[in-house]
Amino acid sequence: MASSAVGNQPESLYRPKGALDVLSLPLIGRLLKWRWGRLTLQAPLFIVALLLIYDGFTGPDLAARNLATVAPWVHYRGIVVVALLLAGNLFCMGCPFTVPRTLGKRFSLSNRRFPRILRNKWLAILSLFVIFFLYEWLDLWSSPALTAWVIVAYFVGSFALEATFGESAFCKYVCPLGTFNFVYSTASPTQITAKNLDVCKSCVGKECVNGSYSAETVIRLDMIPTMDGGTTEKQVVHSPQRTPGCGLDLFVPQIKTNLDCTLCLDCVRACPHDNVALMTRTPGRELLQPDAWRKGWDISFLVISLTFLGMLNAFGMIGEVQPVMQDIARTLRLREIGFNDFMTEGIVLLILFVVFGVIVPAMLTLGAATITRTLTRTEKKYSLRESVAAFAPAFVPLGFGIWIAHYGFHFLTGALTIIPVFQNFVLDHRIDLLGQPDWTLSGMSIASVNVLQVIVMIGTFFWSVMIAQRIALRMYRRDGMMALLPWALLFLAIAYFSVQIFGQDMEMRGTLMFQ
Amino acid sequence: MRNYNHSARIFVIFMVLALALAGCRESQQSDDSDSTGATITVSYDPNPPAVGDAMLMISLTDADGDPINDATVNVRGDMNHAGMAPVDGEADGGENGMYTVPFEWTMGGDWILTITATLADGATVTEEVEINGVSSDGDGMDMDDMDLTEEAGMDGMDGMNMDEMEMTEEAESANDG
Repeated sequence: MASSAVGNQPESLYRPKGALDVLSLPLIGRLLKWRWGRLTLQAPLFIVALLLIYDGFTGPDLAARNLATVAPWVHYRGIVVVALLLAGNLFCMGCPFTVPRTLGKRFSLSNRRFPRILRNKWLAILSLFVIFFLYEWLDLWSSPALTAWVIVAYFVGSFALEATFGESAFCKYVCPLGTFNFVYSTASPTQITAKNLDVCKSCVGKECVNGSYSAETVIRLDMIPTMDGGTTEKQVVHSPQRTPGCGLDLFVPQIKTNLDCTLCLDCVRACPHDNVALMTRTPGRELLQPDAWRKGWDISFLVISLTFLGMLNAFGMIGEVQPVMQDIARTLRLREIGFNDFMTEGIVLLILFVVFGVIVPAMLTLGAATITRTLTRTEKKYSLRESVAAFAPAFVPLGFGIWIAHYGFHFLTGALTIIPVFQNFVLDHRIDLLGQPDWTLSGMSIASVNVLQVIVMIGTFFWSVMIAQRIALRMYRRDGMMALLPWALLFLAIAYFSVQIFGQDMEMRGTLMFQ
Repeated sequence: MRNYNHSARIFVIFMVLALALAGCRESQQSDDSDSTGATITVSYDPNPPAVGDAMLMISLTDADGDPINDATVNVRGDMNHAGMAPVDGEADGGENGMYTVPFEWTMGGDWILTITATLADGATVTEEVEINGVSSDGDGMDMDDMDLTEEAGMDGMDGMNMDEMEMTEEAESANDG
């Protein structure tokens, strides 16, 4: 009988075959599993967030010279998509907005659950819609002060919801940043998983979800199965020094998707059996698994609308958006009615967002699903909801490609602009340590980034079609190619229009003039 | 209650620290009084502006409206969004108060020009001007065909579109002397 050394770093009892457990890597694994591991990532980002708020409110009004606009709109977004593509949901792991959450939890007077009617992704879809709409309408990208207010709003929202509800409601149901990360972390090459499901079956405390924190020290003895078929006795300690369980109520052996996983690794730290791993996997593997996602309209619509919002967000960058908006305003006679330019722009943008962020995605996907069901004569076998939900994962690569192309453009063309902006920030405080700013620093040329954008769009288009093909063949077998046809055409249209948008010259405008 | 007090104390310390730091910022200490009374106006060619080479015609006059010719004018153009390197331009010595600055609109969209005139006595006058709606169509002006005489500059002034030009700040000056 083997026994573990309680009090010391517990030995790993079980080693899975195949994939690499990132947490087993030297240094990185040790750091991530450490009790304060997440805080070491959060603390620098928390300081950065405070710095952005400070510079946003007190620094230069020009977006190009203020940390509050350069860091979030140029660097954060670019780094996030790269991290999601190459590693996983690292931003949620180091999220600074959840630092005061612990405080909020401490102040919490009630442990009530989030309202049942809101325990889905509709609120998150709405928050995404609102933040993208405000981004365009208020020109958040050009205003350091407004960007600072957005950061403050994230802190306040996270704190308020944490203080009000028992679970991490902000992360799971509201946060637009987190929702974006959740969706595209489904394409990431890592996932939290149990090393040995038998251990989870026999686990008494389910600490991964319930936590190992207790006000008083409690010691328990569990009998745990080993890989050789035997059992071993494991001492489990709960104490004030231990960690809470998953704030998003995810139970590790049931995790099949990265949706909802903030990668906080509380489950890893709470598990007394060292049975939780951060495994590498084929990127986007869960997109091919039929039962990985809940088959709800909310999940499907989230993924699909985020693809279209990506196109809309990119369309807002180019000059062609202006005549379109002016035509809408003229047709609706908004100026004659008495709206000023600001309100007219808001109304026209809202119309564009509702049409191209809600109505068009809904109609196109419902249409594609209807055609698939008709062509394959499976109207009775699969409901419309099931058909849409089945193909929704195939939107992830293409949508991700659009966001990578967009955010990557800003990041790659302006990667070095943070250097003179920071030098200027330091100089403005009369500290001459970093020298005079060299404002000529920028990044890659637009032409070379445009080539990369096309490559990304072509690659993610084929990735989406490949996933849709696998889904179609699995569900419709001999009629698989017929089932695939409408979805492939839809993806082709999305990819084509996206490439067209990225091929246009960028022409970002503030408040438009309407006649 | 102890937690509340502790957190409130940290919050107050942070706010005091932030205010103190903000007060130290050099940009917060500039003298907003305009001791020179000088005025900067700008026009541009081509008008409406389009991506490509351009000329900025900057008019500098004193408080009485008389032209100032012995100043150095620096222009810095920033996009209204972050992530783009600024474009700089400079001109020495004006004629009839008009300084012509070669410039390039490198991208379509909204721009902010920061024009700084250093007068003969060392005083500076700064003006921020928003140029909205630089078109991404067109290649700008043909520099070979451009007439850089005083008349060309004045023609540019005539063609100035005040609707697209918004003075964002009062002229500010700082007397280095």
